[in-house]
Amino acid sequence: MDAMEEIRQTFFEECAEQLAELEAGLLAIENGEADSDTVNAVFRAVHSIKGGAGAFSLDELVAFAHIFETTLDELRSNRLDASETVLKVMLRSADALADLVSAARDGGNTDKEKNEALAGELRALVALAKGEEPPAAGAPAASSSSVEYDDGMGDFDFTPVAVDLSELMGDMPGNRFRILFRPHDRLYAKANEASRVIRDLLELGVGTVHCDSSEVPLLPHLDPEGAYLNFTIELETEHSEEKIREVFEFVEFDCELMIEPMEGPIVRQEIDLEGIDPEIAALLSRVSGGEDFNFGSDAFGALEGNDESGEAEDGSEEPNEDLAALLKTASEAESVSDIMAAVAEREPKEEASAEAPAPKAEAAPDKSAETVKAPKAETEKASASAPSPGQTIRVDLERVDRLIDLVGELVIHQVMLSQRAYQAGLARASEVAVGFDELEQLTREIQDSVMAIRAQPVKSVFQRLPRLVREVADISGKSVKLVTEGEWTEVDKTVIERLADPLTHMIRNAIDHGLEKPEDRLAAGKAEEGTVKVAAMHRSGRIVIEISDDGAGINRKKVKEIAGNKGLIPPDANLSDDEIDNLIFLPGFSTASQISQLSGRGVGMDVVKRSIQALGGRVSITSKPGKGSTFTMSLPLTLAVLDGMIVSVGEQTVVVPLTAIIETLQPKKDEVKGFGGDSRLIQVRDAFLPLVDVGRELGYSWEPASATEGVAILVEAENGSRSALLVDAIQGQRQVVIKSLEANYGRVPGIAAATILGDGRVALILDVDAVVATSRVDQSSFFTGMQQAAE
Amino acid sequence: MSNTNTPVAANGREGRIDHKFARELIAFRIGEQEFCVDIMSVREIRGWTPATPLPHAPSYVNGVINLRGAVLPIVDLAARLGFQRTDPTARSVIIVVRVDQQLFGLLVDAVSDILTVTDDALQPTPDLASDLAKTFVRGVMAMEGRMISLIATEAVLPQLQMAA
Repeated sequence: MDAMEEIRQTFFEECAEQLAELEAGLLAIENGEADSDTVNAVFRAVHSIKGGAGAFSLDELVAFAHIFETTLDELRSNRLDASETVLKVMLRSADALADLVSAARDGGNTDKEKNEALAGELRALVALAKGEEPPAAGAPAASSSSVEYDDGMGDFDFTPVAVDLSELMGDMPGNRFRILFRPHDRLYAKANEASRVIRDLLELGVGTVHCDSSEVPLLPHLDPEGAYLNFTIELETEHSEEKIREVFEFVEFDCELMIEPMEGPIVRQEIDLEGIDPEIAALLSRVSGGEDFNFGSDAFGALEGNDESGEAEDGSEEPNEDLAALLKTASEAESVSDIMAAVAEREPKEEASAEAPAPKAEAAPDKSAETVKAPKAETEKASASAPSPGQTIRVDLERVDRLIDLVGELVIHQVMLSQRAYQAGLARASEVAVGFDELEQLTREIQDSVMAIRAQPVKSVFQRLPRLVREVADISGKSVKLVTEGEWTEVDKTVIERLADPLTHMIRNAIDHGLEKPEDRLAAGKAEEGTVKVAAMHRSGRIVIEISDDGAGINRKKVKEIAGNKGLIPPDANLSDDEIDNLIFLPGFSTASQISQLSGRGVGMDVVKRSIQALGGRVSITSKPGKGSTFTMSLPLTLAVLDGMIVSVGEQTVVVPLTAIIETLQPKKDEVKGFGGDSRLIQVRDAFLPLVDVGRELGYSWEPASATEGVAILVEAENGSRSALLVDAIQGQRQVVIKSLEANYGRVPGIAAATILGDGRVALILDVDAVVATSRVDQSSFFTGMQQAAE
Repeated sequence: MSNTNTPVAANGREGRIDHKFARELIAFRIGEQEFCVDIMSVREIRGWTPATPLPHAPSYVNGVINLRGAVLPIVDLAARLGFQRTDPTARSVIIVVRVDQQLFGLLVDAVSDILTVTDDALQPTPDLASDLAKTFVRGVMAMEGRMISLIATEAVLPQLQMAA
């Protein structure tokens, strides 16, 4: 990837963040939770996008961002009320901006007409704010072609100061500037040279140079690489300020620079010769070679590399006779070290000699208030960004993955090592054992921290939902309120990325099929506005996302009829309500009697189900007629650590996620009942639960295990149903690192993932729900047939 | 390990090897037969460690082992080629190969040789071979009276799981 492409990529990454911030801000404003910071943040987001887009010549994007920004500016300055209508337009504009950004990134097209219409609405808002007659909406805007934007600096939180050139260039020739130039030691460290800069400057015109040496410390305190001199240059030139700045182009960040236009003719500085220490003057003459007293540019040439030395005076074209004469009485200083020594000797006179130049240096910053001061602007920018909370860095995901793998290894080896040590007879109370304990704690902490790097709140996905709901509601003509819950639930980044698609489809489905039309809702005695709730939570070591609507619920009669008509189920099938509800996940099933723009895109619930399954997830539906339906999607928190119970099944070791376990018990003979075929039930207090023989389900043994010799583990599946898993023995309880089986092999039915135990062997982590479900499938030939149809 | 670097023009043509097409192969034994894989796909060769069997896996998948923290599926190449299942011993060898992003191990009896051959040394799989062999064998080579079959590593892992 070339450098430009990289920058471009960064720009788009940042755009995504800015867009998220923009939308979040607008929504906050809409909900009345906004303060002026929010409005500013919103403005800044658009401004940054515009700035960046300008740098990449994304004209369409820039044009739209510009008008959007202008409107936001009206809002920011309180000329425009944040009314509901205004915010609706703004939110739609944010959507359009997002489209433009993605179009710019992927080279796609956007709906130009729509954007233009939206831009027209924005302009109308601006006009409204300004108290003008709004222009005809959608009228082609002159502004869109002549948008000014600032060079890619938009990201920084300061507004570049425009320099009014016309004013500066108005009375040429004979512009006069006072330039305060205070080099930092960085400037010299970068092999730049103040004297050269000044020489270049003097080539632009005629000027006087004052050197303020008052800050030169005594020799013992002198840092040989320090910078102590300030220069004040009064320049009369026919060039503009721009031109002057060009001279400082390479040093502007390494110096303090102040350029201000001067009124009136240049006042030839009468140098208070009395104020100049004769020694310094003499030294100066020594340094400058003593031959030529034209203190123009040449004199500075001689000063090169010698910035510790005293004061340079430029008498413009005609050298100041008096000064020259004075300087001619050069003392005997032989070298730079002599000069320094002389400076040191001067100690008592320091104050006096400093008097002349010092007031100038002090006066200058006062005048800087309204002038351009580049270095200052930069410091302000730095200090403004420094305290911002939550500083972030961008890290390649691969590096984080690598780190996670390594830490996982570390944990395994640490466990292995301590196990071996104990096997070799290490005393539990020994110091080494204590060391092992501490090491274990440390590795766990490292692991937690590393895991936390990848874990992200689902907020980033939830943030996109309001827009989706707005769009879908618009198209379907329904009024929808979105409620989100648990948006800070953390889940691995890879899961987050793949969460968006199924979630989108399910929300579409909830609005399109779940919610009734407004008039039907009113007729049913419900609020006109339907509610779609999206909630995320951790459960059983997985992330569960529920999408519920308060619509009509599933019309079971209709669903069954359609499934029967399409030959998806036998016409005489006797199905439970639950089974009927889940029919909608079968391929080729669509209840919408008329294919709508939204759901007719060929993405049925079967596709949703498959994409969730591909993630190792599951989806189910519960529905109450008249009250609404809830889709529950559960996904693994990949790469997480899992607390598991280590059990023996046949000759194998299997991990059962602790979160699914309710209790364990030793079955007694009279508690286990046969229940048709091979199925068995176990009586736990008053309830009869199916007893699932794990060894047989996993194919580790063919003979049914003896219930009384094993251990029953009571588990709760995600849908709340309970079962008992029959295993041979419980080995213990341990935290294990989840290793993907998919990476090198593929999905294994009944297995969630793998892990590596202390002995270095791979153990499989049981997918409790799947094992329980397949054991039911085994018992229901009808369901097996249906499953095959679904595959 | 004799003649490891001897150029071989197996199709009878004498001639210099065009190094553009020369490639190195790792040859190994399964029972009495010799096979080879492209050395570029081999990540490492290691001894046998007991594998954890996978439920519902085809019979030629021994299970998974821990390869420095990664879960590595092991394919019994003999069983995959339709021979008798290997009964792994301490002397069995696992050749760790990479196909695209997937790593897996091939269980074989022993590694025998490293060969340098040109592409034209490779003859198409004879028609005589069974369909099963044809799926996994890209071609055969004659080498000093031995016949060595080049394994098509990408076909070895079960397809259905790869698609999942």
